Amino acid sequence: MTARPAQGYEGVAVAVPVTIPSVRRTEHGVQWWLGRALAELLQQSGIAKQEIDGLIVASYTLRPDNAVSMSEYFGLNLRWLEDLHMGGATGPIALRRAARAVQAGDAEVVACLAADVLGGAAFSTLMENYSNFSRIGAMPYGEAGPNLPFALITRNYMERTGATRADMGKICLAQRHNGTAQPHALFKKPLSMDEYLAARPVAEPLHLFDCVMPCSGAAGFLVMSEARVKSRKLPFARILAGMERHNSFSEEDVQMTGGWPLDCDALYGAAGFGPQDMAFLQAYDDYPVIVMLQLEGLGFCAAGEAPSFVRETALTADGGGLPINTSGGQLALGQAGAAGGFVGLTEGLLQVTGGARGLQVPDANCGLVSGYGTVNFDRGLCASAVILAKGSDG
Amino acid sequence: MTETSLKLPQCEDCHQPHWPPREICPHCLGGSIALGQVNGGGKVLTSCVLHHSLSAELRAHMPLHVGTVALDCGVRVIAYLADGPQPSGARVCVAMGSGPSGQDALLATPQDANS
Repeated sequence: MTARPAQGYEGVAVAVPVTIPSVRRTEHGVQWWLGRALAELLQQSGIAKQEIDGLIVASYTLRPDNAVSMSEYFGLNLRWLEDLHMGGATGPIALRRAARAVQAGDAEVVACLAADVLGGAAFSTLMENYSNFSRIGAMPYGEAGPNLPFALITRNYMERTGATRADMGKICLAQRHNGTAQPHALFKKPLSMDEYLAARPVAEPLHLFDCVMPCSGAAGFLVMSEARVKSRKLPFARILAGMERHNSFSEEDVQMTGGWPLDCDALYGAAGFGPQDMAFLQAYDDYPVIVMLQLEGLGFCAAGEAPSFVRETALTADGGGLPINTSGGQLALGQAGAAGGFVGLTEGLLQVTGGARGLQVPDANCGLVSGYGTVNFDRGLCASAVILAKGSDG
Repeated sequence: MTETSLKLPQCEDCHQPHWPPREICPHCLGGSIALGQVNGGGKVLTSCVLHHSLSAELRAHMPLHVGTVALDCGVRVIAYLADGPQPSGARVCVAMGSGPSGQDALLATPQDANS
């Protein structure tokens, strides 16, 4: 059965991307981090707390609290509320959810928040309890957390496509280059290919600089009607298209494909643009192989051809090729759990409104943000993407 | 260790095995699952060498070799490569045994070693 074409996102605006800079250690609970992101949204937008009538909360470490708990914690009176647990795919999916709520009139102003506190032992605790399948089927094999499934995925991808460590390294170097311009980066030094290749092995074929650093942080953005955002004279972006998929291509013995190819044509068709029109790709970057899967799945190159694509294409924000993860991504900023799933979206919003804190891509009127996440057993189950376009720079 | 020493969750309705364990069959959604004997023979799909663990106890056992194995019965498992690295495509036999710190774990050994 052919799916009906999805409605567009006309009349919806997304604005005020905020980031509470990540730290390796924090004395605060995750509620503090969520609350600082919410306060920053209100402060930067001039929107009153009473106007927020919709809320999305994404967090792994909020338990035993949940999104409902946060309505009382922050003193919000809400008529629309959602708890989202989709890891690195959460940013674009939160935006899709919130946009539909605003379009339908179920909410006027939706605050989308993500935060986690994952320094030190908290990361091990999260991994021990990440999922039933992981606890039984993956963690007993070395207690390696996400490094195990991604090492297995990376080895298979390298063997099948001929990708080399240097190909993976090119992505990491480009992101670290972008990150040097970020005031918030945990890793501010550029990385050389020699340093990348000489790094100690962590889970071969993965080495130190392939892996993101778990940390604590928060991020957020607001979704509302275009009329409302214009009345506030806020810079904003429009959503040209969006998609999400879960547990796609489960027949693959080892993951080679995220869910993106199933919607790639529809995504660009709805946007009226192609991959060549994207000023940037903010791709989920827990490991470089996953950036390669996004390059392929989202039509920047054919399946299996990401290694030659990255060899031939400048990936830095100021290189004139395809700027990837212009904020430095999680490789530079750290992986603050669910807030890591907002890194690409907040940076994409900053880029299309001309407000990048680091390297601004020239003429970034339209760009792609994609997400990937939730390794329940041996692969990421969630894939997501949105195409953002400049609405107004305020 | 023999090729028949592997027991996996199996649906009592459609008789298909699966992994990781569920109380509902992912093939037919049957609700009666019991351990069933399967052939432990299979093929290494991919592998890695772990040098770091979140568990302090396991760090003493590094490096560890772990792989994904496609069992002939159609099930995919993550298992320790008990005799060291195995190239992709290598035939192995998977059985339940003990991991380096004594916990239950699937162990894959070269199939020749069992014949």
